[in-house]
Parts: sequence; structure tokens; C-alpha cells
Amino acid sequence: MTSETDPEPHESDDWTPRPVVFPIVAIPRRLAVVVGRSLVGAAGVALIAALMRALLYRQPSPSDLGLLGNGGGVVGFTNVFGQPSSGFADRMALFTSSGANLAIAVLLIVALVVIAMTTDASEADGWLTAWQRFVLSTTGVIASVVVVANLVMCFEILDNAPGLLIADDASNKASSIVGLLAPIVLSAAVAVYAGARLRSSGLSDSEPESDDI
Amino acid sequence: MSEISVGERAWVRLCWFAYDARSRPAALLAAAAALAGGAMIGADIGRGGSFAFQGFDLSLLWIANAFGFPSQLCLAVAALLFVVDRVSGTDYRGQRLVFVALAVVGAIGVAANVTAVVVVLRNGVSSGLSGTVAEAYTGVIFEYLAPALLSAVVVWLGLAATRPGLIGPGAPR
Repeated sequence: MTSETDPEPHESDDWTPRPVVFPIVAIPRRLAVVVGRSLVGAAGVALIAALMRALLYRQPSPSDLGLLGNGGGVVGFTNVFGQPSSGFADRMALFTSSGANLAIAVLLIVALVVIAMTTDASEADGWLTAWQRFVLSTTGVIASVVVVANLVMCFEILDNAPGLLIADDASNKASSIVGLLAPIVLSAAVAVYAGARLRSSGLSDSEPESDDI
Repeated sequence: MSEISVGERAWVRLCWFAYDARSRPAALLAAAAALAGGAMIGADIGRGGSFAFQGFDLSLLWIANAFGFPSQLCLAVAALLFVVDRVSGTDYRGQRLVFVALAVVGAIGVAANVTAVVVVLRNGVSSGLSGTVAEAYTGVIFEYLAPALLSAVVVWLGLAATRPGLIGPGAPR
């Protein structure tokens, strides 16, 4: 039974949220800027590429494969032998497997660690430079997209959504959903941290040194 | 340092882990990475379940695939972030248990992947539609050696963090 004054097993000094607990590591700030932006940029480009692939993908028809003759096949037969168009579940499966996947989540985590390591010990807790703000906000947005996309994919699998590209997933729902949980959990943690850090930064900007007044 | 407000105290009572995670971001991200690694291992075990009863060698490869590169990458990130959190100086209950668990899982990963390399070398691989047999051997061995090395990093970090004086407060600089 916990007392009224100390309800949880925490030290009394730990009550105030401190989003910057990463120890300060000596790393050149310019290098960190380049690395942080590169990591987030790579994640963003991969996400955009996956989005384009998911939107523009169409399954090859027999005429595309040359099965109906040269020059695109015989007119009139193309529609007969054409493949069904890819549905939402197919496109979502493409997006999550090629863009919103575990590799992107790991990239985002490394970017966050780089940001955290470059915090100057002399700066106030939560204070952020413009590039740190940019990287944090971009990271949060990308992480949120990854979470939402994988959650939607989970629902599609649970809903037995038809689709050629998720045929393997439908055969083993439990393991498919557990596998999708990996990028979801990682990206959710990234989004929570980025949000808390940005919020903390906003508070420290609007109420400077409020604790000591 | 401001005192915690009544509203915040109520929030802490409701969900103390989430509140604590705000003050320990490295631990939060590390826990997420560890969960992700566990999820990958569980998912791969579930996906390859049909291989489990098709012979001893296939079972060994099935286990090694479950402890493959993605899951071990997650565990390595988790171990690194847990160490970062430990270096920050504030211990918590169960910290030693976390590192021991990581070391155990890493050791299983090392054993599974090294065993898979032995199984592949003993049984041989086919070159497939393209490439030489030597290329196929090289590819398969590196497919299992890379996660084995990552697992070794996890084991080392886990063991080093549990031993006093190596990582954390009081460690030599």
C-alpha cells in the first residue's frame, strides 16, 4: 500500500518529467546535423517511394508478359486475359512491406539518439535548435505514418481482406499481426518521444526558468 | 525543481509507467526496441512452424531464421539504449534482470545462428538458378553470421552492464 505523499515507487527527485536523460556524448554538432538529416531524409524518401509504388503498381497482364503476341497483345483479348486491379489491401501490403517497415523504424530511432546526444549540457532541458526541431517533427510525422499504416494492415489481415499480395499473411494471421507489431511498437515510441520533446521545448520557450521563479 | 501537481500525481497513479517513460526516453525507446525484437522472433517462429516437424536440421534452420538479422538488430538497439539509460545514472528495480534477459536471448541467437552455419556446411546448398555453389555457400553463411555477430554484441552489452564498474556510475572513464 503506497502512502498519499509517495504513491509510486519513484524517487522524489524524479517526479518532474525530464525528456533529456540521454547522457551528453562528445560528437561534432555539424556531423550530427548531417547524420540526423540524412537518416530522416532517407526514411522520408523511402516512405515516398513506397507510397508511389503502392499507388502506381499494377499487376502485369498476359499481354505485358508477351503471352498474347508482340506489340501489347491482340486487341480485344487484353481485357479478357487482364489481371484484376490491385485492391486497397494489396496496395497497403506493398506500402508496409517496402516503406513503412522495421528498417524505417530503426532509422528513426537512430536519428532520435543522434539528436539526443547533441544536446548541450549548458542548455536548458528541452531547449532545441531549429534543425533539431525540424528533425524531431519530421521523425514524429514519419513514425505516425508508419504506425497508422501498419495498424490498418493489421485490420485488413483480421478482416480477411482479399488480395494477391497478402496471401501469405492471410494464411497465418497471428504471426503476421505479431510481425507487424514490431514496426508499430518502435514507431509509436519514436512518435511519443518526439512529441514529448517538442512539447517540452514549447513549454520551455514560453515559460523560461518558470521553476525558479 | 517544481513539485508535482495534484493532477500530475493522479496521472502517475493511473499510468505510472507512461509517466516515467517521459522522464526516461532512452529506457522507453529501449523497451520498444526489445518488444519489437521479441515480436519479430515470435512472428518468425509462427511463420515457420511447418518446418519444425520436417527433420532436425530444418528445425535448427527454422530457429535460426527466427533469430535472424531484423530481430537481432532490434535487440542490439535495445541493448545499446538500455546501456545509455544506465549510463545516465539512475538505477531502477529490475535493471539487472533486463540485462541478464538480453544476454540470455542474445546467447540463444548466437547458438542458433552458429548452429545454422554448421548445418548448412554439413548438408550443402544448391546454387539455384544462377551463381556458383561457392557464392551460394558464401551467401548462406553470411546470412547467419551477421545476426550471430549482432547477437554477440547483445550478449557482451548485457554481461558488461550487469558487472559492477564496467558500464554506468563509477565506471572508469
